[in-house]
Parts: sequence; structure tokens; C-alpha cells
Amino acid sequence: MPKLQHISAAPTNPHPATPFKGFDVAALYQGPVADAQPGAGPAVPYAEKLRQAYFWIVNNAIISPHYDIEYNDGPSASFVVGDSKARFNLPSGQSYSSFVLLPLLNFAVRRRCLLVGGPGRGKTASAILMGILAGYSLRDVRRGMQHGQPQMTIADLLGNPLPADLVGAQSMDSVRIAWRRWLSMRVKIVDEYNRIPTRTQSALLTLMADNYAEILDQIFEAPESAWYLTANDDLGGGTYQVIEALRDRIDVVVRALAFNLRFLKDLLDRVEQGLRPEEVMPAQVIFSQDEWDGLYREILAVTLPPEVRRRLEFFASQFEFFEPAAEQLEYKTKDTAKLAGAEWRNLAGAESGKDRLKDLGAQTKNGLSVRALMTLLVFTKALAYFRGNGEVALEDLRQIVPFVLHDKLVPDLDAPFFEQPGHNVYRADRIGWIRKLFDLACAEYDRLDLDREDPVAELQAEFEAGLEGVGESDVRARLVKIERLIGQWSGGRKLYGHVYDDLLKLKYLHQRYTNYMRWLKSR
Amino acid sequence: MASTLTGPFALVLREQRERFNTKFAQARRERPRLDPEAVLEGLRTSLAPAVEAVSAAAPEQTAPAADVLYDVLLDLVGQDLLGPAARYPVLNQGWAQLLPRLGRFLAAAPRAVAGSLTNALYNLSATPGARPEQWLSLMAAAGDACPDVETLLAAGPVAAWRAGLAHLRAGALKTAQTLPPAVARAALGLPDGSEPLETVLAGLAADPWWEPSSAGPLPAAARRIGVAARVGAFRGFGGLFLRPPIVAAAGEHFLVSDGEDSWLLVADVWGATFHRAAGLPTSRPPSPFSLSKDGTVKADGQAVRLPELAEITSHAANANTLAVTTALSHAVVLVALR
Repeated sequence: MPKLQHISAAPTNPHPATPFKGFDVAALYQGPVADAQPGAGPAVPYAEKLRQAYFWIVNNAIISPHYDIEYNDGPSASFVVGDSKARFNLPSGQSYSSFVLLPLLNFAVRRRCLLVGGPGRGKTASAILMGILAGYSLRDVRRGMQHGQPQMTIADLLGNPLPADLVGAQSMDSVRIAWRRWLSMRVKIVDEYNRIPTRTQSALLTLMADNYAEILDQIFEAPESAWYLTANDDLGGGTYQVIEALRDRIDVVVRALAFNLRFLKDLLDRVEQGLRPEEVMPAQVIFSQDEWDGLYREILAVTLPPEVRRRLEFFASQFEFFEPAAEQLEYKTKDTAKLAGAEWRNLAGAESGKDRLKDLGAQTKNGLSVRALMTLLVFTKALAYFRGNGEVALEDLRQIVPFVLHDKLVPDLDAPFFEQPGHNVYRADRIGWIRKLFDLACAEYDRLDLDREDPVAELQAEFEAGLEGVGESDVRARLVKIERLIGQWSGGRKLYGHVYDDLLKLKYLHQRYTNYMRWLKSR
Repeated sequence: MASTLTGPFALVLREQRERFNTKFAQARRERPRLDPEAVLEGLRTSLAPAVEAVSAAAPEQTAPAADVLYDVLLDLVGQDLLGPAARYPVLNQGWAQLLPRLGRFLAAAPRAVAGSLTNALYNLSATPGARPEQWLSLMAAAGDACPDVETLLAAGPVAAWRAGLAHLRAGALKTAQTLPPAVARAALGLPDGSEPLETVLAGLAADPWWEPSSAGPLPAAARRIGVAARVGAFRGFGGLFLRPPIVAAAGEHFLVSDGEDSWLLVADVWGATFHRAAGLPTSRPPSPFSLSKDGTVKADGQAVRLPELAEITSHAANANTLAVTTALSHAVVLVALR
């Protein structure tokens, strides 16, 4: 088999032995000669195929030997290095390179991925590989790639009205548009998106957000796609300021890490032999439309156990609450302050009585949007699926959080947290900061022992059991329980983000029971 | 590269010299230890006979088949599976002796035939107790009777079952019924003029311990209790078990554990294979066998004392087999009515 055609043998992430399912005579012909009878053996599961694609890319295509998404199976070796006392881990489980894995997961869940990093670090090459993974030829992927530049017009991006129609048309409906071919591709690549003029960015936003393009009242419905945008500098170094709505549509941000010079020989070999991995991706790792659809369906079917979901709820609830923003509890959010255009520093300074070091919400200037949470759920499921699991583990969530929230959580660099000894590094290291936030939230969750003692969850479970047959006296008892709980909390307890969410949830339950009670009485 | 070769393959090598050299360079990058001498040796002893056979069967396919087979050869030599350093020398035998007899099939589907047969030989070689050499001769005979590649590859598992891969029994029995009788007989190694194929297949399906070379299935009353096989061994002697194992019934097979790991044991008259298994439920299928502490086995009104079944640690039985483990051995003793 030609060298670059070699793909890793299954299982790429061995799990404990699976239940015995009987013997298949076709297994006789599975062995060291790969793909001896294409299609004759049992079909490779999509998750296995996705892992084979990952390992083919890290082994042959992208020389990026970073294993920054760490998993441990049992104890692992850990060392402290340098003056900064940085922890250096040798993971005992199969670990991954975020620069390869995240774009691949983005391909699987058809979302929008931003690749950031200095020039020449493989961002575009990585995006091109995703296009080839979708079954397009290298030529089609290159032709479909949009290169951001200051003169880029909407017509450059979307297409042109046919000149003959423009002259002879009696109405707008009769003007046909020559849509650009890339609009119908399953993988869309926009190189250096922060060099696109603002007006053209708006057209791109419509396409990215709503999957359609519009020129002269003509609509082009684009298929669901995996998007890859690249930027040399995501923080304002582009030619144009990226409009916030466009930034907000980006689901996951991946950093291209530095090239490790111990791998220069690999680069030299590649130069000398004229090797172009993108030209020889093995057919076995390429996903057809049906396979791609099946892959996505299987990812969505991965379950998120309640205990992991509660951790996510607890973590995410830390950020939106902002006590000085309003009088009424419902409006005490960072969004209220932002919409009012209030001076952040003044309002933040008005917070008193709370331990701002302990309050994780004090570290950010915003909360998490529903869109960000949905993205987080989908990517977490995708990571669990990629690892061959049917259920999300807490570590999956922990690993994915920094990449999804990279551009979603805006740090308040004046917060006391960043002044703490050793925390200065988090001003620059967004990934590390968000992971630290998540760890701190989990530690607080454990301290509060919410896995075992969560009165709001109990009340919620009671409510979710249904109101059918619940009598007036029961409803009254539940209302008293809710009021008593709020009464306990109101006695001098500090308000943090998670308590805020709990209070509003209790209010919701109280209101539902109150309405039900009224209905009972009216019968 | 082609200096010591003559004939059609040498011609291909001369014409495709650059291409083949580039392929070698690429393969060597993937496997830096790929030895050029070993590749040359493989060209002479493994590839050349196969390509010559293709040339004899379908001259126009010589170059395309050589190109494909060369890729397979590089891959196998690079993995130390072919050539002078082959981990299983029988793979060299397969290329040198079996493939040249299958020229017309190689011409039609070089990768499918060479790759599949090599994989089969590899699996047989890697299975303790299996007989890859027997499979080679069965396949050579079956190949003569096969009309096409599909039939040839269908015969492979049947011959593999005959050569010791007991776990293929159910699938092979089903396949054998669909093969042309001459192919099925050749794959099962049945001598000419022996019982009709249907009778043989029915006998094999009814009793896993019946040996078709004997004169037809024995009547039940004529069968005697006896040790049918001793399977498994201490890991230090190349077996699987760290400690003397214990056994339990698992449907028509047995579950064997040494305290560290568990395996599914599949056994019949032609062989026994172990397969890692976890979470497999045990069962108590109906069985004619019973076992006393002194090693006396009773079944079908007979009672036989087997001295080697002293110090029994566990036993399990199904409709055809009694499996017994003892404190004195790492082997599982299989007792049957034969």
C-alpha cells in the first residue's frame, strides 16, 4: 500500500471487550493487507472512521504533535517545570491535538470553526483537509475557498446577476443569478475572514447564520455545511473589524500552535520528496453525504447524564447575574448593563459585600447565550462520540468548554482574580483561563455537595412528575416548601449566579403551582 | 532490481523501473526499516512466480497485476510478514506455492485474491493449534475446481474451518451448502468417492466431534465416552493462562477464565480456538453428561472413569461436550461421545 494511504487499524481507541456478537467468516480475510476486499467486511462504524480520519491527519498530514486535550486512564505522571512552576502532564489515556480534533468535530457536527494563529501554521491546510474529507477533490476545495480581501464584494462572495437578464428583464423575478459554486458545498472555507469589508461580512453572516444567500430578491438555499474560517489575528489585527454578530456565529475557536522544531526532519522529507498529503487522502476515511448525515445523527443520540448536565448548569449559571444592573431580580444581568450602555467599571465597582474572588461571575463581562450553550452541548456529545462512548463524561465537557467559549466569554481583566499571584498568565491564555473557571466551578459544586443535596432539583423532579391527581393540600404543601426554601436563602445569604438561577427557577415553580391551584379552585 | 529475473515480470520491472523505485522509496519512508535486500528477495521468490502465473493466464493483465501485487508485497515485507524475515514463514509458502496456482484469479482481482489469501494465512498462523499448511493444500485443490474469484474466496473459510478454525464452523457449514460440490469437497478435504456431500454436511452439523473420514456418522449406541481434546496451556509455555483455568458453559461454547482474563472456547473435531470475551453470560444448557469427583463420566447409560480428571476444579457441559479443568493442569479437557 502506498505510504500516505496507510490508515490506523481499528480499533483506534480500544475499549474493554465488547459483548460477544458471534463469529463472521468474513473476518478470515481481515488482516495485515488492508482493504483487500473493499466493502466485503463489516462496515466500519462512523465513530471508528472518524478516529481513523483523525489519526491519518495527525500521522500523515499535519505535523502537529501537540496533545493538549488530555485524558487519563488511571494515575498519570506529572511534573513541574520552569520558574512559572508549569504543570507538565504525561496523560495515561488517549489524548488529542485540539488543532486537528476540533476542526474534525466541527466537520462532524456541521458548525462554524475559526482557526486562528500566525501565518504559515497550517490553518488553511487543515481547512482544506476537511473539504477533502467531505469527498471533494483538491481542485474543487481550492476553487471553493473564499479568500478574504479588502476589495471583496457581495457579488464576489455570492454570485452575479446574468448580464443578459439585467438588460432584458421586466421584473426582478426574471433576473437569473449565477450563484457561486461554493455555496452548495458541504464544507465552506473562508480564508482570512477578518479582511472582508464590513458590508460583505453582512452577506456572509446571512449565509452562515441562516443558510441562504440573497441577491436582487433571488434566494439561494444553501445546504447544511461545516464552516472553516481562518484569521491570522482574531483580536483586531484584520483589515476590517469583524462585526459582532458574525463573531457570535462562530461556534468553536481553535488555535494553531507553534511548530516543534524537533520535527524539522519530517518537514525536510516532505519538501525533498514533494509530498502533498492532501492529494492522497485514503478513500476509507472520506465521508459520503449519507455517512455524514448518519454520523451527525449518531452524535446527537449520545446521552448527557443528569449529573454532567447539572455541572454544566452550575458552571454556566455563574456568569449572567450582575447585581448592580437593575432593581428587579429578573433584570439583574450583565445584558441589562450592556444594553443600557452603562460604564462597566462603575457598575462592577458598585458590587459590595460579595467575595469577588470567589464569585466566578466577577471574572467576565458577559454571560452565556443560548446559542453558546447549544454549541457546547453538541460539541461535548461529539467529543464523547469520537472517543467511542455513548454517554458524555464530565471530562469531555471539561475539555470542550474552553474551545467553544473562547470567543464567547469576555474576561474582565480588572477583576481581582487576575491580580492574584500566578494568575497573570490567564490574561493572555484564554483556553487556560476558561478551563480554570470550569475547574473552580466544579470545586464549588463539590463543596456545596450539590450531587447529593440539591433542594431545587428535588422540587423540580417533583414538579416534572406531573400535576395529574395532585390535590389542593399537596400543592399548598409544595408552595410552602418553596417559600420556606427562599426564606432560608434570603437571610443574609450572598447572591451568586447559581443562586440567582435557583431563585428564578423557584419563582417559576411557585407560579406554576399558583396557577394550578387557581385552576383547582375554579373547578 | 530486475537483473536476476527473466520473463514477463522482468519486462514489467524494466518498463516500470522508475515507478517501482519511487514506490519503494515511499514505502521506506513509512517503514524506515524496510530492507531493500528483503524486498529483492521477495520480488524473486514471492512476486515473480505470481506475476508469471498471471502472465500465463491473461498476458494483458501482467503489468496492472504486477503493480498491485508489488504494493501488497512492499506492505508485507515492511511488516516482516513476507521475505527472509517473515514472522510466519508459511506466508512465503503461500505466495510461492499457492498464488502461482491461482493465476487466472490473480489476473481478475489481484489485490482481492492476494490480499485476502494472505490475510487468511496470517489469521491461521496467529491462531494456536490451527494448521495453515493444511489450508494451503486444501485451497490449492479447491482453486482447481473454482469457476471464479467469488467462489474461490467463499471456499476459504470452509477450508479454514477444516484447518482448525473451529469458530468458523457455523458460517462454513452454511457456505459449504452453497458452493459447487466439487469445490466444497476439496475445501473440506473429502476423498473422492466418499459419502455424498449432503450426508457429510448433515453429519458435521449434527455432531461437532464426528470425523467425516470415518465410515459415516456412528449410531448413538455405538459412540463411546472419551477425551476428545486437551486445549489451552500455561502462558509460560506459549498458552493463554496464567493460572489453571476454570470453565463454565456459555450456550454451545464454553467460557474459560484464569482469574485475570476470560475467553470463549470454541471446539470441535478439527480444532479449538479461544476468543477474548467479557460480560458474556454463563448458562446451563441441557446435557447428557455428568461427572463424579473421582473423574467418572456418565452419559447415555455409559460410565467411564478418566484418571486424568483428578482434582477437578470446575466442569461444564452442553449437548455434545463436557469440559473439565483440574488443579494439576493448565489445559481444559474436552470429553465427548465419539
